[in-house]
Amino acid sequence: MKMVLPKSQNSEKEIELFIGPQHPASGHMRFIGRVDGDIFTKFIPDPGWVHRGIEKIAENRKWIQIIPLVERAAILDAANMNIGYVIALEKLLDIEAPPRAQYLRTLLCEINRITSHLYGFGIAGIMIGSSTFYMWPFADREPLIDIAQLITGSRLTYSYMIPGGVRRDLPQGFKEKALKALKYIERRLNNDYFRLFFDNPVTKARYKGVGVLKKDDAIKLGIVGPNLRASNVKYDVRKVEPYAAYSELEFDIAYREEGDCYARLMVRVEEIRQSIKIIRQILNKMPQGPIIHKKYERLISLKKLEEYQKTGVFGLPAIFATLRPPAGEVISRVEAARGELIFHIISTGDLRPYRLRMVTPSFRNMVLFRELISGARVMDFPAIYGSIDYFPPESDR
Amino acid sequence: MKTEESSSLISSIYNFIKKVVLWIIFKTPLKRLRSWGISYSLWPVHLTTACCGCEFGASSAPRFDAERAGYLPFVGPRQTNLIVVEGSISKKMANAVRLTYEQMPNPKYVIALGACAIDLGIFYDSYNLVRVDEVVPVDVYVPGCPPRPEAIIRGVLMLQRKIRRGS
Amino acid sequence: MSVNTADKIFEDLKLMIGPEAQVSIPSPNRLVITANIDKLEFIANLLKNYGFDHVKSVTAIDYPMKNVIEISYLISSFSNLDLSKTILILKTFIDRNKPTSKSLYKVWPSVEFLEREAYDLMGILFEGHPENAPLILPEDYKGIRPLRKDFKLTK
Repeated sequence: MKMVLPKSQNSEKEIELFIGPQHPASGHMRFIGRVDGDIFTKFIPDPGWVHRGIEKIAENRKWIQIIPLVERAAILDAANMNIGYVIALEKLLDIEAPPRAQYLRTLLCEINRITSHLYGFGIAGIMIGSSTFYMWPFADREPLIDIAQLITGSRLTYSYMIPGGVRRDLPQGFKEKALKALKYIERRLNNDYFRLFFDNPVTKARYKGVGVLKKDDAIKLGIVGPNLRASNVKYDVRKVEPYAAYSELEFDIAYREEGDCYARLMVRVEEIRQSIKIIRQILNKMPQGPIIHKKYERLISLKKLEEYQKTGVFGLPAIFATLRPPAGEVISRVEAARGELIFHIISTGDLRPYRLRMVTPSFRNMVLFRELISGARVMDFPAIYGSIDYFPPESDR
Repeated sequence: MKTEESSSLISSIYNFIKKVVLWIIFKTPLKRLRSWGISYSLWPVHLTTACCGCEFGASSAPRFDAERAGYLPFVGPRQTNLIVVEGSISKKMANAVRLTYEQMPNPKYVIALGACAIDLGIFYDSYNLVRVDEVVPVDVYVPGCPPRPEAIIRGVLMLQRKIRRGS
Repeated sequence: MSVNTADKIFEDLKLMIGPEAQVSIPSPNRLVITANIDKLEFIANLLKNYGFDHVKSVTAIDYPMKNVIEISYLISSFSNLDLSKTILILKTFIDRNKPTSKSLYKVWPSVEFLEREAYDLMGILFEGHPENAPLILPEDYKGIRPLRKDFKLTK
């Protein structure tokens, strides 16, 4: 029997949909899409709902007060935002942190990378409809957050790195607890996550072949992070311009060739494995020594000196309140969990910066919504959103 | 004549019954049953506003399970009775929060989470943020930047106690 | 090794660009080209043919005392491994009272949202850009654009 479809009663064929901030699948932003039947003909992201004006506020804060401000741009990934700013400031001040501080910084950055990718998995899972795969990664972040709490004292916003080094040393018994947490994450990742989600035929049906990004398009549009590496471009800032202790550690760049949603997810899985390998090397190879540059170590007040020598907690000396770096212009780049983060700072030798420019990886990836979802079916939208790993507060700053 | 008298009789009986029912629900000990029911079924709506949203998500995760307090994030404003405003509200987002709040049926409650919701927190001189109590009336404030998930659950329990006491 | 690469790029660019603009190396792996706004697209095409294939940032800096706005394009490469170690800064200056500039969208499509953000927050109109529209601020925003120096923050 031939199927007879009903004719539409009105002459307009397209409907304009506003997928707004109050929506289970939209995050903190709005999308405007034109739908024709079941296919999006045009899809526009509408950011700016979490814009706090960090670049303008930074012109009104002292140099050391910007450290907590910049972290709250992407609160999940705070260590990488922190290290990007501190590296730029150290270039202006023309100092370098001692080797033990570099290893401690790398340790915190890699822990943050794993927790941020697990958060991404949780969001990807619930967007497809797997609420168990929302609960499992969020629960598995907790051992790593506990480890970070042992080092720094706080769950998410660490403010751990200052120009010249870091603020605290490792406590006793840290290495055993960290290795135990890593073994747990590795076992969960390799056995349970694959059995529940990554090898699930439902996941493969929704992710394979959906939202394909070709290599030339990815380079032309300026995409960064695991989205770029899933399209066969082997670009990772940790290999191109090594910072902290990455030049002395061995790891591989994770990449895939297909460029679809499943490839982006697999690149993140491989990055978690490489991060675990890096953390194990750090715990074995950590050098002894001071945690702060000797220029600032000499300036600790006598009251706090005893505490520093006994416990390794560094109370900030008064010079940080009136820090005046020399005039100049610096650019620094680091590899945050979602991609490449750029800081461009201009100083005129004053107590406050003249201009702080911060380009976050999510802002550069925002164009993927328009390119990948236009032409796709309506139900592919949550799948593509979950695989891009877009975080609106990071994009709007 | 007879129909007019009977219709006015019926309407006065109807008004009387309505007054009796409202008295039973709102004044007698049945009121306690009603408040107990509301306090254990506070369902927040899916509206994330800023960075404290990730601790809000972590508080529904297995370690800090907030669902044991009867708290289930749900899809649409017409079927929920709680808004959790996390963090700072920008001017664009204030419209969305106000629209969502006005669509929710009575009785409805608001929890303000984080230092930014109290008095703009670390972004105290931003050009794009508004204070939460200028947009919606707030019942419970939870301080912190970001507040720990245990503090969020404690905020929910405080709201439950406030409802049961009769606000 | 990386300093030699930057030196080699420096020499090549000086030969290609000639007297049209100034090239300098302020620090390792960072090159600066200062150009006039009419020569911007010509230099951009030269750089693209040399191998620089995307733009990382468009920074607009307000200098009210000199009455100019400086626009800096941060350019680098993904596909060429030697060039990807270097970041090139392409600077130009425009008048603060009539802030219009030429868009580089036809050369590098990756500048689309970056230039739109500069339009929204600093008020620079880019000629040739497909859509000069607000991106981050509310659409009914009126008044001085926030990143200008005469916009003062109040508590």
